[in-house]
Amino acid sequence: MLRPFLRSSLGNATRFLGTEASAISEEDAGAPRNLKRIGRALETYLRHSRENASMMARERADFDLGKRHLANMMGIDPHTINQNDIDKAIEYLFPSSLFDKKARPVMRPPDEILPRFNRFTFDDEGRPSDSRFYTLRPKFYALLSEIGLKTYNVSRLHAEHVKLNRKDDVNDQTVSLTGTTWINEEKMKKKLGENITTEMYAHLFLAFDYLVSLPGSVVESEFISQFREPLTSATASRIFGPEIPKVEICSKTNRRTATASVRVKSTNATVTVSDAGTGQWDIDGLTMHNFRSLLAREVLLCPLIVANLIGQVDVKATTVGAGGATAVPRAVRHGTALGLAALFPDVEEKLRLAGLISWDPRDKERNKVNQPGARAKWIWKRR
Amino acid sequence: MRRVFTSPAFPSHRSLFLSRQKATTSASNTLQQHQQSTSSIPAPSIHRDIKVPSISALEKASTQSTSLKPYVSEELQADDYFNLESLVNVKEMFDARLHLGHKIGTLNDNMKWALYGERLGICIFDLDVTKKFIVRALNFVAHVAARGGIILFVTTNRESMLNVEKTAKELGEYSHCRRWQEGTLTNSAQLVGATIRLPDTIIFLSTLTSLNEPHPAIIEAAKLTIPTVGVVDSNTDPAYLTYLIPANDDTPQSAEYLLRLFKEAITRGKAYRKKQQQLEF
Amino acid sequence: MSTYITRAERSGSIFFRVTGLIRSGQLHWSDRPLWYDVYVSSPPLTPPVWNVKMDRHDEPLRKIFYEEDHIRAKFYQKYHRTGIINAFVPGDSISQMFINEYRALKKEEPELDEESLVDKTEKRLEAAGLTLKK
Repeated sequence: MLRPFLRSSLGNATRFLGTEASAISEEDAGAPRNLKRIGRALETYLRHSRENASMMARERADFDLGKRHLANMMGIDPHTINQNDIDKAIEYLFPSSLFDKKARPVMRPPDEILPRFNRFTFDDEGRPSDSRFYTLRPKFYALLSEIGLKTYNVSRLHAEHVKLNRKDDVNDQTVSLTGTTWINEEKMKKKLGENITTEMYAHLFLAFDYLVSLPGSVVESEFISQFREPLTSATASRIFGPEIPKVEICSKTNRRTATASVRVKSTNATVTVSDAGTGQWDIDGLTMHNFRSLLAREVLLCPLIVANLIGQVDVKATTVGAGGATAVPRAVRHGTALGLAALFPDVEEKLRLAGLISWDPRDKERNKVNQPGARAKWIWKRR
Repeated sequence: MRRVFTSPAFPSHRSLFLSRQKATTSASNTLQQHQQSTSSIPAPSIHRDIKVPSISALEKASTQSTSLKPYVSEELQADDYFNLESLVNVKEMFDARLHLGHKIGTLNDNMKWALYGERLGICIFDLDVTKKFIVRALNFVAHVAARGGIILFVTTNRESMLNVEKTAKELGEYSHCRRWQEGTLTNSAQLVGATIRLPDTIIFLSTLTSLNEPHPAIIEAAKLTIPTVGVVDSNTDPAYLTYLIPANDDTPQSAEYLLRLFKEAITRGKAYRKKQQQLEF
Repeated sequence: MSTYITRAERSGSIFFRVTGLIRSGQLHWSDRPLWYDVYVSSPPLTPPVWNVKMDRHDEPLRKIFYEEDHIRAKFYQKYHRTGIINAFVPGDSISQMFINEYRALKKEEPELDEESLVDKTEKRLEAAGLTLKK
């Protein structure tokens, strides 16, 4: 059963496979005399490989057909339909309110979605294609070697600069890494296409860190940036958390303002932050001077300190509801932070990391029966 | 003619399954395959030898391998078919610091045969002896390459590591300059996921690991009857290695020199192979 | 038919084990490994047995000394700071120049004793422009 397949797909090489002893001619006296059976492991592998190939072919055909049906349904030209159109169409036809975008229905070419079958590359003599094949992690070690080579080149280049007294050369700087971070383990595994352990990952970044620390590493910034990703981007639309208000422009004074409605416990506040200000505070008609407590003042100023905009914006707030010693300042702080995030988008990330954008959901806990308060208990007597 | 498959090739070479499959699994039969006689293979006598040695000839061969010489192919009848002796000279070896061993305190008694002596505590290799052994090893490697064998370069020396990888890649052969995973050869089927063709020769440019212990690949190769060529320094144990090269293994200059020699030998072997293949068609 | 190569690496060399398989009929001659023929044609120069005692195993290692070493010893006893010796630069090192001069002097005046020979060599070198520091 295996023979015909092998003969057809692997050609000449299989001539002697499964040949009976009697069939050997004289000139093949040197050839093996016994019935050959392919190793079970290889048999299984070849079968899986074959099945996978035919399955992928079927899936691709299905996808192409599905694309045309979709185009027909949506009234798009089937010849020019692209992935963007498909995504929009699927979103329309299968509306989903699932929070995780990855859980929503998707229609993509099978090569992108279905798990890749690990196909080895060997030539017809069984020789592996990768020179580091026997290390069992050829791509990982190839990357390590590449880093090693680049480290050597960078340090040699720097030595030349020092020798020729060109220390201020542009090429002699250390590569700048602000705003980016190393890609995580999962992404690295995907990038390499190999399974690497945490230890190997750590080893890799030890090597990278050294390269990056060398003077003159800016020469290899392109290579290094392949393995760095921007810090958690807040630019993508967020599902959670309070909305950043929209910026309005006052027609008369041409100042930009942003208004946010916030709540802290039972205090509701509406805070307006104006651009191009002098650091004025108006909280229910009160200024900073009226907030005698240091804590209250610190709380109010916090977002401006984080954003480094003290004295550059004006804050006006009106509160409704009873406010405690810190409730009003906290509410105004929240509103200010949202306003600043609207007016100065690059500061939003900093404010978010400082925890000033998220709403504090703590409320007064309800009192329970048979207790004086929410948690307090009557005096407990042992006997 | 040479097609590239995206699945592990049909175990094309006769040496393929011998070493690995049976040694690992218990039940399945070996694939004894003989691709040599079917497709593009070089040395005609490999697959077309009519002469098969008798049992008595083989018995004699157990103790004296050269008695089987009449049964091997033409180019192997010569002593130095690829004229590799002309590549090696003592002056160049000296300039490449091949003669420098370690201190006598670290001397392995089984390496005294290769040493000229000890100069102020440093062991000095006898380069005439080294030359003989290098030529023998080069001859072996060249012929293995001429038969399409897989050659694996192994080293643990961090300074020459990148050079070894580069040379191996240029030759179209293989290198392993990293931490050796136990069972890479003996348990390859499980570690790789499928049966693979193992190296036909392993060249050790340094035999000791960073912990000054013998490299695990030496024993693995010995177990799977894979011949090994090893550069043995004065502090190493030459056991289990097939072809020895008593020389300095630590300095990058000596590694560079030896790599150059191996490169030339393998290139000559492969050129011969190519020529034979062209003659076949 | 199966070929079970024994993995017992100490039972014999690789050639011995493979030949054993061929002898017993477990492995056919035509299926012998690729390296077998090459091994037959050019076997290793030392017996590839794992526990073989190589030549001169128990003998002490010869110490390499040259005749001029005792002149060199005297030189280094007397003069310490001779600077860095660069083996890549052609030409003799300071100690070698001393030895050459000493030998030449010895030929001229064979009856002089070692101390005076050393002193004379030093003076000669100084005359040539090389001052030796003690």
